[in-house]
Amino acid sequence: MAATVEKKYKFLRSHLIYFNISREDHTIFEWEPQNSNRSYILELNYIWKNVIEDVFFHIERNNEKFVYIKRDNLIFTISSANRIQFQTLEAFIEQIIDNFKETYDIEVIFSFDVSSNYFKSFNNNVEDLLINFYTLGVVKKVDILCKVCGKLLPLVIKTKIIDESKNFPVPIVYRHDGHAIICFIDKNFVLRGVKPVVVSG
Amino acid sequence: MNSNIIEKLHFINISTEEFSIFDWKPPGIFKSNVLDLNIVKENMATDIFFHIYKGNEKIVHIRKDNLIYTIGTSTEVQFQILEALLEKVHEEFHEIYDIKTIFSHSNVSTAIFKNFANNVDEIVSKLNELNLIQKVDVYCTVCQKTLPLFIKKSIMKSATSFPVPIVYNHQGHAIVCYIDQNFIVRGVELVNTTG
Repeated sequence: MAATVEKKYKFLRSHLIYFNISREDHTIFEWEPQNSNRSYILELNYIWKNVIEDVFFHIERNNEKFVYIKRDNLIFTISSANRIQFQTLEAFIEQIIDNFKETYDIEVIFSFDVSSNYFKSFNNNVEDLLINFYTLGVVKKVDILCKVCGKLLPLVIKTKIIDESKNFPVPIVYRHDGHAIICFIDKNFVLRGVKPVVVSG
Repeated sequence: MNSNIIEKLHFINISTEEFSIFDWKPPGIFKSNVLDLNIVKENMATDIFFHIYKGNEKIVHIRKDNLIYTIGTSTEVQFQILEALLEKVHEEFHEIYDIKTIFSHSNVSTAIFKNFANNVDEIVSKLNELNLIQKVDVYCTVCQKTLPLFIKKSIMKSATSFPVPIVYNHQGHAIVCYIDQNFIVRGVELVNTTG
């Protein structure tokens, strides 16, 4: 593993807090770093009630963030420390979804009454994906100057967003330190413009 | 829009770099916000509104003319309403007090700002009549609902090009709404966010 990839892997590995795959309102697979025994049932209960098919949702909660998506009746949830950007988490979930579907024929499996132990060995796949994540080319880093901070910041973008977009440049909102900028990225991942943006909500 | 905003407001504070000079709280609220204000003071950028989410509370702050204005509310109140409120508070505060002259004297007691609470009470109670905010309806394709988006009118005065993009962050996702100078929605799209 190249040194930079290994460094990125270690950073991601040390900041990931939790990963969960659920079906409606029960967990079928859970991954946590070693020695972590925290329960996320309250967060999952909220997520299970507030999910719409095929849209990524973000939650920020104290020092951690959650990203979740419902796809093919399964709900994939990931949590990390604040330093990992949402786009990285989305890209990681997408890799997990592909890998999970390749490994298990969900429709057939759920036509039987299966125990969640059935998916226990998927833990190895998650670990492998973590190790290889930065070699897959699913995220790209673009440097942007935020005029508010007066600093050059790394913006992580899922390559899929750009590859699948029909219109260019693609707007991406980067929220950080209590404010937001809107970055316009062209199909070659070149920054075409950046400006502070008004936020409500 | 904000008929009961007073029930949702937690505090309004005006500080110098060193200490609080004015603190307003709705009746019956005695919570100290000193930790939040310490965080706010660390931010040195001027003339830019900053937003902080904190559990069931949201905080907006801005540093203007060497003073720091901070407001805290429950999460239902949109950020743009809070920004408009702070702008009005700043405007009135500067109209009433000649800050430079006041602070050029030593041993200024913050008691001289105490009466400003009446002005804040009035701003809060008459927010609807002040015509600071415009409501527009935007359709979110994710929620599949028409949602009210509040926009402070001062945005249009300071905008250099139109339509103005406004990011509406809600329920874990965001849409970008393009608003023209007549507050007509020219487009809405789901936007990718990071941070």
